[in-house]
Amino acid sequence: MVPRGERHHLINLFGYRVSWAQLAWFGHRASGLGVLFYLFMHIVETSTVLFGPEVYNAAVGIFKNLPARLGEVVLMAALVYHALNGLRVMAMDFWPRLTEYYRPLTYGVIGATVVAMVPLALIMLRPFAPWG
Amino acid sequence: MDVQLRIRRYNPEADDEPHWEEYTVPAEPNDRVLDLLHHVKWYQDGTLTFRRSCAHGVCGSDAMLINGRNRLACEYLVKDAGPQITVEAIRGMAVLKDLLVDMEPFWESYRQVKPFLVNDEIPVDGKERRQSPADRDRFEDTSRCILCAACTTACPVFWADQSYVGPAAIVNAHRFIVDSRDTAKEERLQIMADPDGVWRCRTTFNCVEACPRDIKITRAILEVTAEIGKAGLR
Repeated sequence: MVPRGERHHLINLFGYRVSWAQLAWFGHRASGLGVLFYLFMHIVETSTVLFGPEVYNAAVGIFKNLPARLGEVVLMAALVYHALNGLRVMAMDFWPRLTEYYRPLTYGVIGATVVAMVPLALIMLRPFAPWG
Repeated sequence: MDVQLRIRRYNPEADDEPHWEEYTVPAEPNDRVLDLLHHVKWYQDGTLTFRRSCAHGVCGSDAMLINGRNRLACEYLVKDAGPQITVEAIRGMAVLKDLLVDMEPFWESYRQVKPFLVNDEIPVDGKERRQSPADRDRFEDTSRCILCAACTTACPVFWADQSYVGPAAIVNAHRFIVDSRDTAKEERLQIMADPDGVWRCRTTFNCVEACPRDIKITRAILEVTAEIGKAGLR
């Protein structure tokens, strides 16, 4: 049984049992860098149009399969999470009193991301699904 | 019951690197981790070095990283810690020996925020500077800091770069910044607006979780940033 007051520190990161809010921060950084990486890749992909329609179509074709689509679902999750968590951080900046509710707010952001991703993932994966 | 106590030991005169040592210590559920450390020092290995003074959660001397979190050894009970307990020095500070760290950089940051009331004006009645209960309440929370450094050394920003002034110094700056009797507000806000000041907070709340006095540290930090904005500083 987890002792009282310890329930919010289940994860040991670099030898310190961090708060969920620190994990939220870590996720914010990771999702931000992930989206940035995708943007670079996207620029490279679209710039292949300079070499003619065949090269462009071949480049775009690389992403028309199930593994790439799963990657796009992860990308969408990163975007949704980054946006919602950013709103949480900004809201605390405007109203410091909100920091007293950082636990429910952090859980809320994670929960809302999961809830939003269920229909989004279904829509995104439909072309590859047996029922699609 | 017996408790397995793992302590991260380091003797700069003998060791190249810190290492873990294990001790079996008899304990009652209501014993504190500090009692276990005393037992090791008094009956098993007198060379174990740590800092403590009042031993009752008031002086803030014995902040340590216990079971993966910063806490005061004198406040953490065996019944909450469990039969296996790990103890190491707080992070981001130079370890002098075992659990003893060099607190000087911490005090330097603390001194930087001028943690004392600045007011050279003569009080209106010539005797005392009056304050409404509402004005007093604004710094009630941050005036309870015991300077144990549990918050600052729980902060990942501080782990990465010790030039960050840290949550404890900001809490103590807040205590005077929002004090209606103080006249050095702008000076303190200038210090806080420094690139190594409040802006480096990433709202990870490790400080809030580590504070043995339950001070709403992140709220204080964000209130200071709001004051910087109101004063037109950047």
